[in-house]
Amino acid sequence: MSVFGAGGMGSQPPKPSYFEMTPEQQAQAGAEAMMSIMQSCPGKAAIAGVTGFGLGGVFGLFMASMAYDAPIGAGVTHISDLPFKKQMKLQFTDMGKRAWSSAKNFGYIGMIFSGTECSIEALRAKNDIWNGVAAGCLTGGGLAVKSGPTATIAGCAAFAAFSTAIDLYMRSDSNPPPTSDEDE
Amino acid sequence: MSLFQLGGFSGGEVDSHRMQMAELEFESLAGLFDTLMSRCRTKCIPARYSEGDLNKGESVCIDRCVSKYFKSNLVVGGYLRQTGNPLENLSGSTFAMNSFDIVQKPIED
Repeated sequence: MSVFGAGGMGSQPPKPSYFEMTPEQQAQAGAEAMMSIMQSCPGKAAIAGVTGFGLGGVFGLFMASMAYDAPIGAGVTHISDLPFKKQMKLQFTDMGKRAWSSAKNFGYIGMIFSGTECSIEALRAKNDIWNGVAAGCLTGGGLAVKSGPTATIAGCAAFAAFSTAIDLYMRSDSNPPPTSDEDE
Repeated sequence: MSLFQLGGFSGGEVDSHRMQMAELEFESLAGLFDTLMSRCRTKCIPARYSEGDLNKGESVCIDRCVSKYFKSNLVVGGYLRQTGNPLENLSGSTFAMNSFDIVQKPIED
């Protein structure tokens, strides 16, 4: 009986392949596929990783320009004694190294945080603040796990607090509206 | 009401029986959809939100809610098919609501 058997979704028509669709339908299907990839956990982790990599590179460049106290290049002679081209070469290699390491670190941070937060949210099927707290703890702790247990706990606490603060600020849109327009 | 009044009872009764079945099926499907929507909305979508798109958590919750609902419908439908309840005592919407209540209550938080 169809009334009692109404549990299944029923047989759906087979989806048309890409070759049988018009260009507009192909564009629509492509856009839907892209949206679904960007909303999946690996996609979010990849996007955050790439963004973190870029931001970390820029950040590393800036920090390299400010680190003038640590001597680079040959240890004995001062850098301003070297010819100009050598100075530039040393500076650029130093900037490159710092930018690369900073980009890698930020890329790892972004990828791990976004991936764990998305996975925890998908596991719990809830969207609240605790996803960010747990993801921050796992990221901070995971990146500091090679430095021993104390550093792991400290990293977990620090990163969780940081991510909670940022999340609370970002979520302040959905708080209840203020009770009055005046400043107390 | 039919054109086959002279043809005997068989034609008229089959039609009205099929009509009744179709009406029941439509009612049950409409009730199913209504109950499904309201239940999954209360369970999965919180009261305060700041944007119109579904979050990852909300979409996963709705997927699971719909899947559980349909599977529980199958299970309860199987029991009813075994005991062979008469069709006239059940309307579609109360059947759908009762089945979801029976299976979902222990898991509700």
